[in-house]
Amino acid sequence: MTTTPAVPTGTDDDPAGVSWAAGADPAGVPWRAVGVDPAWSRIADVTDPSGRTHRWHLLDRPADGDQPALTVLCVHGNPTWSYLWRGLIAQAPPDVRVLAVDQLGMGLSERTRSPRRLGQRIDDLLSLTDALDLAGPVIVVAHDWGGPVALGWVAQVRTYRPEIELAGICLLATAVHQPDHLGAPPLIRLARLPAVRPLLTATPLFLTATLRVGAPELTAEEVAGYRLPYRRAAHRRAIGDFVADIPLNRRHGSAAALAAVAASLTSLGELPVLLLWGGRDPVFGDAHLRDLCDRIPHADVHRYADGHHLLPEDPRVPGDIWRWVAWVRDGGAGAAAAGAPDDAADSAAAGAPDDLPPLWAALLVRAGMSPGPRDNPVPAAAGADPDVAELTQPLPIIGRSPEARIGTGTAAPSAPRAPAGSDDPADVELTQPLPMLGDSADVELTQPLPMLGDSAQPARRAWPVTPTAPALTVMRAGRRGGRAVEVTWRDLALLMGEVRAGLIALGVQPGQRIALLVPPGAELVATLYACWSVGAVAVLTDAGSGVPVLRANLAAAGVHHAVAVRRAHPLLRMLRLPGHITTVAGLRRAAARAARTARAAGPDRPPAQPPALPPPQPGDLAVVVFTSGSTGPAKGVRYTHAQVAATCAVLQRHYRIDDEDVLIAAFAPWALLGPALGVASVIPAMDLTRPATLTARGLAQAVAATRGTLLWASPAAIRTILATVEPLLADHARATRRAIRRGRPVPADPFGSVRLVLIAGAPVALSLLERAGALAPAAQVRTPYGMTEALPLTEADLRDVRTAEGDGVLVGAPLPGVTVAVAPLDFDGVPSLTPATAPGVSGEILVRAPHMRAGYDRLWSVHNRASTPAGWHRTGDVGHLDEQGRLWIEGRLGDVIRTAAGPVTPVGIEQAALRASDLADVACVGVGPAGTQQVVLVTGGGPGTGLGRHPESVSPEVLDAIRAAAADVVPGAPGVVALLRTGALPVDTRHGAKIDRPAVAVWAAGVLSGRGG
Amino acid sequence: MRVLVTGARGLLGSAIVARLLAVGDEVRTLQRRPSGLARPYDVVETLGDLGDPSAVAQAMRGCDAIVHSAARVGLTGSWAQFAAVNVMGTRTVIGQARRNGIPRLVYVSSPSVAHSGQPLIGASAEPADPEHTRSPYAQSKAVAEQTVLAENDEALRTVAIRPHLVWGPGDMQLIAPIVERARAGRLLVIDAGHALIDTTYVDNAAAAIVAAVRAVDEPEVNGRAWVVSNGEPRTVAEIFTRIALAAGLRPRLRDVSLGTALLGARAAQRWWALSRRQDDPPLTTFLVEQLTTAHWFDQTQTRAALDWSPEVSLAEGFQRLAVWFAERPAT
Repeated sequence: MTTTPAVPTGTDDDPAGVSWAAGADPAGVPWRAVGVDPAWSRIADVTDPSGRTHRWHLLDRPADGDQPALTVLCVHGNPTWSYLWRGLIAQAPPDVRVLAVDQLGMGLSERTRSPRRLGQRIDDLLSLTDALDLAGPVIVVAHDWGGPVALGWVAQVRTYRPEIELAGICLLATAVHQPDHLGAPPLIRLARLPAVRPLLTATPLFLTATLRVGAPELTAEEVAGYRLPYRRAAHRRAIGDFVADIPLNRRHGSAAALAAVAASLTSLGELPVLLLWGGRDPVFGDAHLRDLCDRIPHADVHRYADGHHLLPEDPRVPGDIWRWVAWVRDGGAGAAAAGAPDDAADSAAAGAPDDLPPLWAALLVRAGMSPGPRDNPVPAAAGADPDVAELTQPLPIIGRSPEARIGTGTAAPSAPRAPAGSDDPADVELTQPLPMLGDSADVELTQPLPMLGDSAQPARRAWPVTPTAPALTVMRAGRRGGRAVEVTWRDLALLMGEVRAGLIALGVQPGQRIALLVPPGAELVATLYACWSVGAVAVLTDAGSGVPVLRANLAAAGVHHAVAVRRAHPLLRMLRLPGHITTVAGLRRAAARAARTARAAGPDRPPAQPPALPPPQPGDLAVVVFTSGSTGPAKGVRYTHAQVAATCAVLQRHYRIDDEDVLIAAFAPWALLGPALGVASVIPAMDLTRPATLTARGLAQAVAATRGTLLWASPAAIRTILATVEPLLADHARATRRAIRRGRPVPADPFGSVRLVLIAGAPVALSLLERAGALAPAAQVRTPYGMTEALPLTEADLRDVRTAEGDGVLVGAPLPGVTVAVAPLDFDGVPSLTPATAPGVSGEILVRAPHMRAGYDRLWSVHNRASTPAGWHRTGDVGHLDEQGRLWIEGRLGDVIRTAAGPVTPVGIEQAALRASDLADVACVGVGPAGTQQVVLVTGGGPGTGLGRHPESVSPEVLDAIRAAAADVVPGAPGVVALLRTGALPVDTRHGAKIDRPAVAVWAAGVLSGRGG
Repeated sequence: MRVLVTGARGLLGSAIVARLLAVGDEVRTLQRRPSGLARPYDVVETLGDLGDPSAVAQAMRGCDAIVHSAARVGLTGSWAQFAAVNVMGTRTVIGQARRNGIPRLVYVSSPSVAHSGQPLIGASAEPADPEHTRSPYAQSKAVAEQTVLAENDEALRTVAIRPHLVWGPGDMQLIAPIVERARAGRLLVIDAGHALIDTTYVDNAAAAIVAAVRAVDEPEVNGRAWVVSNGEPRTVAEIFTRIALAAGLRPRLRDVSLGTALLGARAAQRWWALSRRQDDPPLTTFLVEQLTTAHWFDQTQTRAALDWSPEVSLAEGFQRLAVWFAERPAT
């Protein structure tokens, strides 16, 4: 065993007629021309255990100093070579040695006489690392079919090479198993066809196609670099052999080796693993990623939605790999948790108390149910006809039910009566026991529940038992007052039990992901809580964001199953889920079938129960909910059961939600959390994905039908309500006059029962708050600040906002348990990583709270950035704290205007402009190159509906007033150079309130450049 | 310091003289006709032409620095006409400065020397580019600036200052035509007048040039061109409106499309050429381009290099303009 530096060996004339039989001559390679430092290239002659010597080529970038602090071993796949890793090597930290090998028969390594099987390749790699005396901490990075080779090597090393200290594994676009429902990747199957296989080596087609599809952005030089060792058919023989070595069935010669590699993954323990995936990889798709995630549940994942197969060529990937390596070297997740400030430690999922009641506890208590198993697990609704359960229909109600009541007292068609069930309340029962979190034993739920949160917090009240009271009311638009479809607590619990039974009958496993594409209502609520009860992870994405976003989100989340309205099934089928695509009705049918089977087994024999599911633990993932994409690309946000419970706890405590409250859900999460909070909710007649569809009359009907008390709505909804309130108030005044004339009791105030109006989702103007306050005189008006990643964080009321003038929008003091700081912006507008709480310091807002997200889903790099400094969530918003510790929002980090005088934030200037004028809306943006940008205002109200030119601006006097007001808010900053008028400012779809400032900035820059803008 | 100012009769030239006097310098001037500055101030005037080396030499004798601001300006005219004054005159000034051992030369240039028709957005002072300038005037200034900066050496420190769109009370080039048209109700803007444009209040430009007389000794300052502006870009429409308001008029801007404006400009140029008129036509294609192309500049480097910043804001400048209009007898 010898290793030598690369020297010319001149072995092109092999007696067997195979070029490069003993390895190519790296000295003859134009390394610089293909972007590789020639000093990295070397050859190594390695004798394997059978005594045969092979000549290897590898790229070896040594570390500074004698001993590398870490060695990164890179293993390429097919049909590439070590050239694949040049970008990674170029960015390597100085104390890291990088070894990128050419597998035998590939790259510039020796062409072997016979094809190498997977098992041999694993042994080959071990022989090489032995020859190189590899020792100390090692992280292995592997791509494509290099993955099984590297993982096989890992298994060997872990057993037989104690001198090698494995520190982590990074796998890019690979697989260890063909998911059964897919078969082999279509391209590999194509390549394996008898007619095609010879072409793999005879022509460079396979190589060219892989490069074209795998990395469309490659330059001609880079393509030449990949082709370099594969120019002649004889050079390419191993490419074909590699394809032939992929086991597509159990009889294949490498099947056993691959199975052993797959099996070894279960014993990785806590070894850090990073999986990098491209969403546009036609070879290794999302099914392969899901398979690896299921095998290595602790793996960090980053899926580049727009990434291709040759990920090492993606400009983001080398940086992200080194970021992860640095994070692993710092101790990874353990260090991050330890590094978190003390008072944030309890926010970590791991630190959640074990005595947390499950999220569905309140629902069961109010329904008067005990979750314990009974002797006769027959579902009450076994005879229900599931086909009527389309959500566009009134919900068929299970068990005994009061007839749906009619809203506002007018006649309306009655909802279908409950399907025949037993009239005996004792029969009202769940088919499956509902476990308590962390405690599968029987718990008497009618008793007060254990405390939520740690024992220092006040004990939570017991929920009252009100099985026949409405838990959820869904308003349907109608001519005379609309219709209210009510679902009682008991019916909701029964529906949940049925769905749960259906999920179990279909074989849903804990930890599996279930997409819920069901409109807000009883079915969605019941399915969500049923998913939680079986330990499944609900994936929620906004149907209002359009089919492409929906599809991208579901692919990103890697869902196993889907519960969806039929309309969404074709889309879901395109995603080739490994599990079931069904409807809520389908789940109920499955439950009924399972129950019939159990009954048929006879009362004497115990029915064949599915194995009991372990109850979810507080730290288990409960839900992945996608951001709207209104502030950047849509991202999946992960919440554990403990974090959902903490969100409920903070809402319940802060808003003093009690049993008499009714949530008016004009904001989607409000429509889901009611049962967990143990309070009734009402969904007004509106499209919850489009908040601006809530009219004053729709709201009034919802309030009248339920005596609703807590309204949560976005500014867009409030604006529509205010715009449509006049006829309603006129009607009410008429009715009042009529009643007085006739001596009857006067009708109730349309919003009289509302005690709290929460306006959130986007910065709220004072005028909107004032008008909302006038609408419901008995109500407090507050505006909470938060985001999909943590809600609510701070809160301001009308009084605060009325007296607030400063640089930004006041969003109030942090709620109890929430910590807020800023990462100060430097002169170039870049946030530093040292949290500051000094008043007046502008920076990116950092938050910590027990109800904060667990993280971003399958976006390790994004998550890592958003969680640095450790323990904090970086919001992407910019703001400052004032003397009283209240938070002011100044805009998004991406909206910061980089002027010659330093960073300027938009919101304070916008607020000043609105105060100084009668403009309805205004956006403050920067135009020009960063570092010398100018401040420009744009207002809507011109002709047209979008961004369009409009010659007229405001009068010079108004402009003077606005300039003076802006200068007061941001003294020392460059003044407002122009105020343009356009048709309408672009806003996000979800809240209808967040101005898309980057789009406005692009438009303004075009207009102000003069020509053709 | 004793400083020669050429072209002291103009708006900027006279402001430079006033500024030099204000900072305590001794001032000499060279121009063709009396500037009206000699009497009220202690200014030694030489009447003469840039084409006359002896007059130039006489004017600069004993000076520590020259501010060369004399130039032929205008929208029309041939290359030969502009070059005779702007290129040849500048060569004469340089030649005589060398001969007479004057150590400093501040050349008053124009941002148009580096303007090739593209919008300038947050731009810095790019090198002069005579081949791609958009008018004979700009071309002649570009050649002259190149000559001045190429001459920079130990014996003669040179620098070019490019003030962008200088205006102020008494300005006949920018202010007068706008006011005249506003009064006639013919104040046009092209494509809504949205192009963002830097301007320079005359006192600020003068202060920057006087600062350059000191800063030209600094190695990072000399041999280079510096753009000077108020650093407060405004849309063309707003500039027009503010000027008209200062003149006591409530203007109504008439919006014409770029296509219409170009047609009109070409027709006017053709007519002026055919009728051999010597004055400028009301609209030229060059003017249309200037009015529909953003021109604003990154001032951070200039302000640091010259240790100067504008003292008169645009708002203050428009106020001074309004006072001047109010005090002036109606014309």
